[in-house]
Amino acid sequence: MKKVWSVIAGGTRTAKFGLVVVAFWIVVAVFAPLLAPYGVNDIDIAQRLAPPCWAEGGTMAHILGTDQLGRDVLSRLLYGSRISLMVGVVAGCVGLVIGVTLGLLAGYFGGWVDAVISRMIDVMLSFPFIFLAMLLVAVLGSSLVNVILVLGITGWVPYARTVRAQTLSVREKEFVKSAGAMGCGSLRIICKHILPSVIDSAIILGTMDVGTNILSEASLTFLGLGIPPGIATWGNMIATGRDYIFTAGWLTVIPGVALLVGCLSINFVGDWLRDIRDPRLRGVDNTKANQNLEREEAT
Amino acid sequence: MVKYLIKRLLQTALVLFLVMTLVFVILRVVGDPAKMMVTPESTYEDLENIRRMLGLDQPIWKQYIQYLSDIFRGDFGNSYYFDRPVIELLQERLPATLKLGFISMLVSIPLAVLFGVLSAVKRNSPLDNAVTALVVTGRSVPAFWFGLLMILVFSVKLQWLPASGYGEAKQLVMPVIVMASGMGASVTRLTRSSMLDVMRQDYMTTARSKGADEPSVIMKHGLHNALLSVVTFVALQIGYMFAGSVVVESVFALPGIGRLIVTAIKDYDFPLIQASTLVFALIFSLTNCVADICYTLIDPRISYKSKGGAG
Repeated sequence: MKKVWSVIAGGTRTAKFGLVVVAFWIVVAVFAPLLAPYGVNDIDIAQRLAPPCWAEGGTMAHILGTDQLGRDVLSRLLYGSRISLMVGVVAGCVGLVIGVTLGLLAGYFGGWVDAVISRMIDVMLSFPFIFLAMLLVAVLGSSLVNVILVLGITGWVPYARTVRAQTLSVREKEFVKSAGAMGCGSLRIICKHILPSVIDSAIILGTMDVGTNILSEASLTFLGLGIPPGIATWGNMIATGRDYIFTAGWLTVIPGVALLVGCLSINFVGDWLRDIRDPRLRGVDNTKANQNLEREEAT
Repeated sequence: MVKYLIKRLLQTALVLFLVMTLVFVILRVVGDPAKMMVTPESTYEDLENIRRMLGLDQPIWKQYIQYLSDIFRGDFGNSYYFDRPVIELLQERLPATLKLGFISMLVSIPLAVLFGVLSAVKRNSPLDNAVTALVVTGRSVPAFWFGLLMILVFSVKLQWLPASGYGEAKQLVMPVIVMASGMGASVTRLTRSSMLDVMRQDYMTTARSKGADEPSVIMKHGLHNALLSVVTFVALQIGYMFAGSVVVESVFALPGIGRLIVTAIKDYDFPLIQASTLVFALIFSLTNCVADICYTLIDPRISYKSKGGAG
């Protein structure tokens, strides 16, 4: 524990900022029902489109104002943080598990296994990620679970590429060869010897992927091919706010700021973790970081 | 080299074929457009009739063969929703997307390279910090929200620019800024990092010690080498431009191919989805392919024999 603190204390300013925001976010997400002043779907038509407290006509009753049905923006924001975090983390895990498994198989076995998996990667990279995600959500039906699954299923490529490349080099190391010589089976070699040396970079990719997934979820929801309108998510809040942009700008601005600060913090933490693992990359984002760029482009 | 070219082209063809198959499987296995085309009063018979009309009553392998042979004949069928040839629709919508994309590239790439190089050369200066901050923020801003924010400021508050529409130059200003900032952020990041990488190389020191002045060292030796990776990346941007168009066109109501796709997907318009996927995949794969080939041509250190695969 002491070691963890000293590592955190040695982090950059941006990393500390990121960690604080992410920690705050997790607390808010967990305790949202206790923190929210109103219920997430409490409608108060008399109070509809009330501006936030700092604007003219705003009251402290609704600190961040209300939406077109008189629902409290702050409460929805707090509840929305749960969905965003859940989508980001769970979809990241799905992508990580699929990607690491395929990457290990491709890198370890080579031959036709590698050929098949590499072609799968080529196919996934040959059209924009958001397009495939839209298609899958439309076909499977829009629901929270489907969006998470779709983001996971479409998000495995960066993991698979990184893990495959690392497995290729680790496979040739002496400790792996000697494990093979001692009679370890393939499964044991992969799980006990190769996985531990490639999992670090997959987890770092995963950290950044959380931010990417959250943005992707918001984009999909905004396009009407994501989480159904009834559920309070930041993407949904922005999508509704768009219809009132000429009269009630705060409905668009507030959830967007939450999205921006949240994703910025996750990226800060991700960058920092990457620098700890590989100090050579400090301040220089090299190819490893750029692999994640492809998905970011699409969102 | 010829061998590598052939191999790379075959690979692209294989990927395109797999994409076609994937889209076919996704659409046929899970969705039923006939159900979207009937009214609540329709009978089960009407539903069957529509299925027969669209050829959806055939066994799945027959549909697949029909689908492939149609594509090879260049016949993408009629859109279910618009009831017009898909090709026509794509031709109609493509110019807006291309216009938006190319203007954005023309705006963003020179600026991105300029600021990438400057911030690498003047590392840790206020300029570098500002550029880095912008790039980092650019990574975390959802494009659709940035677009809405611009509408809020420039259309609602200041009333300088129209919030949506297409035709006048004024109406393209905000979409171009949103699109260009997305592209620009990643190109700046890459230019900066590859420039930093290059500046640590021995040949830079050698050039300096031979007495070359700083600007010429940076331009001739530095930028020349740093741009290698940037060129490939820019080629890839053409593909991502189409991805970005989906969101940007939806925000600003531009009549481009991106918005067409969103509506096609919502309406289960199979022929339109299939054709536009193929167009996307074609553009993507070809730019990927061209980028790879360019890279091997520009950089003599890369042997084309070792390239290939997913790498």
